[in-house]
Amino acid sequence: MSAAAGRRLAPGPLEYGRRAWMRLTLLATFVFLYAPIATLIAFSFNDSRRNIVWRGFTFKYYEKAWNNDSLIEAFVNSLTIAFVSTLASTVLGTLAAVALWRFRFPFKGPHEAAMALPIVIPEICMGVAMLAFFARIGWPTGLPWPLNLGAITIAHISFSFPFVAVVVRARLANFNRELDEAARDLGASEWQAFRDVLVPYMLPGLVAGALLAFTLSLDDFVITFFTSGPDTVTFPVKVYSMVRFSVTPEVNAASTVLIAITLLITGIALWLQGRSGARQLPGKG
Amino acid sequence: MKEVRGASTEPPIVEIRGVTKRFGAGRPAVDSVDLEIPRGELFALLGPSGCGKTTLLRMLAGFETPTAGEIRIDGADVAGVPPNRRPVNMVFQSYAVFPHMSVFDNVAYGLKVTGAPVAERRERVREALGLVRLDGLEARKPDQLSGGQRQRVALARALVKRPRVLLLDEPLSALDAKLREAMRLELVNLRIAVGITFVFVTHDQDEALSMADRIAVMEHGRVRQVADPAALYEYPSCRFVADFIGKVNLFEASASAGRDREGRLVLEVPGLGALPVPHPEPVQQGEIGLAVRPEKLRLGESRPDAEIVFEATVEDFAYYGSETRLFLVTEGGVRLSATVPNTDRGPVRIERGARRFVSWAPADTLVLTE
Ligand SMILES: Nc1ncnc2c1ncn2[C@@H]1O[C@H](COP(=O)(O)OP(=O)(O)OP(=O)(O)O)[C@@H](O)[C@H]1O
Ligand SMILES: [Mg+2]
Repeated sequence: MSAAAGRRLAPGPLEYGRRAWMRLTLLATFVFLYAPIATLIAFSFNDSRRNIVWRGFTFKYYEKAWNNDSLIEAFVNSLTIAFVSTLASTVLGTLAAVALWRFRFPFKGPHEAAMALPIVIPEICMGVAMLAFFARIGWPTGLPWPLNLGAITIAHISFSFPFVAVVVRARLANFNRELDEAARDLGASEWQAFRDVLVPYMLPGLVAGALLAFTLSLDDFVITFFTSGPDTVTFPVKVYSMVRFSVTPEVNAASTVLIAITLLITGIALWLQGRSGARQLPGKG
Repeated sequence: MKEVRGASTEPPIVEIRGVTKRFGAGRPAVDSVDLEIPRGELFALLGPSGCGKTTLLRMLAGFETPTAGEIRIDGADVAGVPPNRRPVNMVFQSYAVFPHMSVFDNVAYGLKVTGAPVAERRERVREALGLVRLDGLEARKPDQLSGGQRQRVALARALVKRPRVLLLDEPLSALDAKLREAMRLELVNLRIAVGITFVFVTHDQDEALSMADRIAVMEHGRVRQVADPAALYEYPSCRFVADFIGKVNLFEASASAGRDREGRLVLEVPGLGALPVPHPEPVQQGEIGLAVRPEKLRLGESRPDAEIVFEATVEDFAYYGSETRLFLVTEGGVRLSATVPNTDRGPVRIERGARRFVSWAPADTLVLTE
């Protein structure tokens, strides 16, 4: 015993954290994942036009980005689209999930599979399909803001609502139907039982789904690229066009702001979730 | 036997006539059930797993629609009436306490959703929580309650609606043995306090016998017998009920020997010989079930002066504290089980291989024609 106490014990089977190779792999993963982002953020404060060597700290490019009207316009477009499409796809996705969970109807299996299709279809195909679709039906162009964002918003809703549906459906799978029946038994109408019992139960799934929809919409490039026109540029499309000339700290600054917004919204959502879903297991699939 | 409750003038609170429920093809889950439950009764639906107890209860609550037949609650046909408009409330097997609501909100939910004024709500919730002895826990969330407390919330939540019939699906099955025992008495007392008809489902015969005024025993969706606990135990109508309720020594006999001089039926049991039983009703020829409860058997070291007596060897025994169960085998090779109350303190004075005389009174023999 005294001999063993002096030496360090060999790591146990589950003590991965104490194995050197494990630590190394972990470190490498973090570097690969976060080094580019860290660099992006750091260089947004770099006092240099060429963005290659560190020349000193500055807020100059944030100011510059703020004063770049077309960039701000793209930014506002992106946020508007993201908000509308998040709202719509959360409602649609939730309804789809509830319908699939609650009812029995013919061809339910194929329905469910077809609904999840936009998740697996390559984005480029979705983009081309959307472009062809809007051209075919003669979707009006040149509408005043924000109506001109309609096509992009619809495209975003169509690819993000399946994600919401899948997340909410996974949560519903663990729902105790007796809760719903108890509410009905106590005098609630179907709608009241839905509102008072099912929605609170789904809430963590709703929040997670909405978050997913929001981030998917905010950073989508491919599908947006195909559905946007010259007067409906979104942030990712704008950044792409700016980068084609040169990677300036201005792009870095704008991207950093986007990261900050995403983190902020995620934080708020998690906080809301923690407050309302009090100690319920999140039913994420 | 108990007196008939609720006098003949009052119609039964629940009438079930020819109710059948099919889920797809195959044997129906509930098969032409007829039941009448008088007002104020504590009625038990008892049967093995899968016999259709829950399905029957859910048809009363309105969660399942009968395939055929009629259900009347307080005189009114409830066909097509949704669960939220029926004068019954249910305590679910999982309790189904709303996890995101406090105890108060859970109990108040049924009043809130039907638009009862806030002051009335508060008063009635307080009263209901008092009934189930949960005062002071109003602000707790369900995950801060014990299983027994959660069940009380479910009870209070249903009682606060003042239903005409309270339906309980295996109300005690999720509790530990000690608490279950205590809750039995509490449920019976609660029923007396509120005067509401209780219909409860159980697969535990002890629970049904100790709590219910009357019991319906179900098998494969059919009601086999409806009787009060003592009648059910002492006068089962068929082999299934005799075997399901309590323990029993069951033999197959034939009535070929006819009747003896006193007019008693003489049944021939392989290995036991001819046994006289008082059974005035005529019986069909062929296989007849003959049963005797283990506690009706008497054991002695010397041959007693009895009509039915066998010499047997103790094969095994099990000590249960209040009683000892003996497993015996007669000279004819028939196995019998007997229970002996441990009335005296001290070590069990029995050993394997001991010989005993087993006897029972002809009147204690059950004749089972079904
Ligand atoms: N929704 C349903 N769909 C199909 N079959 C069902 C459904 N509900 C019940 N059954 C079947 O009906 C039969 C009776 O079920 P029920 O739940 O009433 O049994 P139970 O007596 O309550 O059993 P337990 O003691 O196990 O709860 C079972 O064979 C069951 O499989
Ligand atoms: Mg059941």
